[in-house]
Amino acid sequence: MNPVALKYEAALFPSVNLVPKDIQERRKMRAVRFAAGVAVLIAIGLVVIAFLGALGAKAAAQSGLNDASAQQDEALQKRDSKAPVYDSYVAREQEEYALAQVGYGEIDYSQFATSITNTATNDKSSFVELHMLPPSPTGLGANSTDPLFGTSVGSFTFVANSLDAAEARKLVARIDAVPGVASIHATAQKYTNDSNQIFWQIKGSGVITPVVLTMRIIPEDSVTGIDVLTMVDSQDTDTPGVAPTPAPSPAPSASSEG
Amino acid sequence: MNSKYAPVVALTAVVILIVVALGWFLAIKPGFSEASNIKAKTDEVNANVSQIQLETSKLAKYEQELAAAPALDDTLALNLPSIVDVGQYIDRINAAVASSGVELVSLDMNASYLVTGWEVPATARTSTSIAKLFTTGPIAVSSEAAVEPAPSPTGEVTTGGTQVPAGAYTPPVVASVEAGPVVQDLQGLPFEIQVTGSYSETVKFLARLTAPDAQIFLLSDLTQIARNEGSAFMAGVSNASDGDVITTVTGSFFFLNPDSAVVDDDVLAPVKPAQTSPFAPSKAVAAAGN
Repeated sequence: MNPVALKYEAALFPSVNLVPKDIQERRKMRAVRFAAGVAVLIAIGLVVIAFLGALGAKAAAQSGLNDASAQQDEALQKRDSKAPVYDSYVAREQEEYALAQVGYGEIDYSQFATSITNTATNDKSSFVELHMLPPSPTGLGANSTDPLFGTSVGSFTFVANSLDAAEARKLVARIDAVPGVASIHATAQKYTNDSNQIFWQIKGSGVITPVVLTMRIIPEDSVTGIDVLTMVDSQDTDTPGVAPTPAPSPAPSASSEG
Repeated sequence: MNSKYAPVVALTAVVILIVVALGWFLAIKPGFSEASNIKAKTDEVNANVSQIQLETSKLAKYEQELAAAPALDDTLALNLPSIVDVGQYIDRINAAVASSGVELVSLDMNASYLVTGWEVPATARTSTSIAKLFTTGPIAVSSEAAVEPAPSPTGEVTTGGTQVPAGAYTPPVVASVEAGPVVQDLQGLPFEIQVTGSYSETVKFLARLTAPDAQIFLLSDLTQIARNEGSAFMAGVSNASDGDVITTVTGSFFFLNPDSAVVDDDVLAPVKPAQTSPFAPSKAVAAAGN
């Protein structure tokens, strides 16, 4: 072996390229062209692969959308099947509002009127007339009151005979103390002749407050949120509840004395 | 690089660039873009599904609350019937008169009247809240042209930006947006009753007339006037004594959605006039006249 050739990493044996140079150039050109074609084909292949990826992504997305659409249809069908809930509530609203509108004006007059007459009258004062205008479904019964003295759910007027003006004043105070009435005030006072006896006659008026409303038929557990008390001013919380007595004397006091 | 190969390399690079560019802009990018749009639509549909499911759960809660609420059927049937039975009311008034001891002076039934229901804003009604739960429609997933969502009955755009093809979805529930009475057909039948008697009898009469175990008879006017001894004569009743009261009551029975249908299926049979004139005074009336 030639040590010099080894030292310089030269071919072991001397050689000579006998291929003509133009042929060599053509070969090289073909190789370059081939490489170029391969590169173009690779590029096309990559584009095709990317296109197929896009198609796959689109198909997957479309599948997800179809599933979501099916879920949407199912959810809609399930929700719309509850349409009768609306009808039920409309009917319930009508029922509750009708009961509330009719029922809120109810007063137990046998108790209420008796509580007034029991408390207010005695052997020196008696009623000649009591007139009550309670609330009704068409409105509050407050049309006979002077707004200066306040308004409430209803009103009432009275005419009473007393022995004198001082007793009449006490009568007004006693009426005012009855739960369920307020703003009692005299509107006219004068002497009068009743059955040939002279009395101090007093005319007065006041308001009926919500505490005497029974609210008996109004649904306690309203599902429609109706609040009847927004319709009537809530004031006191005590209730009448005075039992009627046999003869609470609308009769003239002097007659009973005489 | 050898300058002889430069054109080939350059041409190859250009061709590759053209292939990649054409592929990207004509096939790849539109594909991914469409996939992205579909995914966005899917997210929108899923959000809409969640909204609909939330509405369904709210409706279920409303349904449960209504089912748990005490029934009003008995209370309504007793106090606000649809059938008018005047004979029963007259019987009830007469029974209250008889059992209390007062004497009936007069009894008038006046013309019925329509009770205007309480005005309630639509937004304050529970049913309106429920109707709003039906306004969310489906989101169109087809390639058909979408339209702007129709405004809900309450004037609000439907939840979730719903877009549906025209006419593709109609909400099963549409609530009224107008403020108005909840109760449309509530009618009252008023009676005016005048009785006289002692005060205790009058109190009994009032208690029995408005007894809670019968249809509510709601008083709208109550007048009590003393009828002491020596008071003016009143036909048909006892003479006055001290402590007596003339009580005039005006009250009404009420009817919800009254049934005013007239039913008379019987056929009139041929008859002849009775021998006694039906217009001849009865004995009791004649005696009173004498």
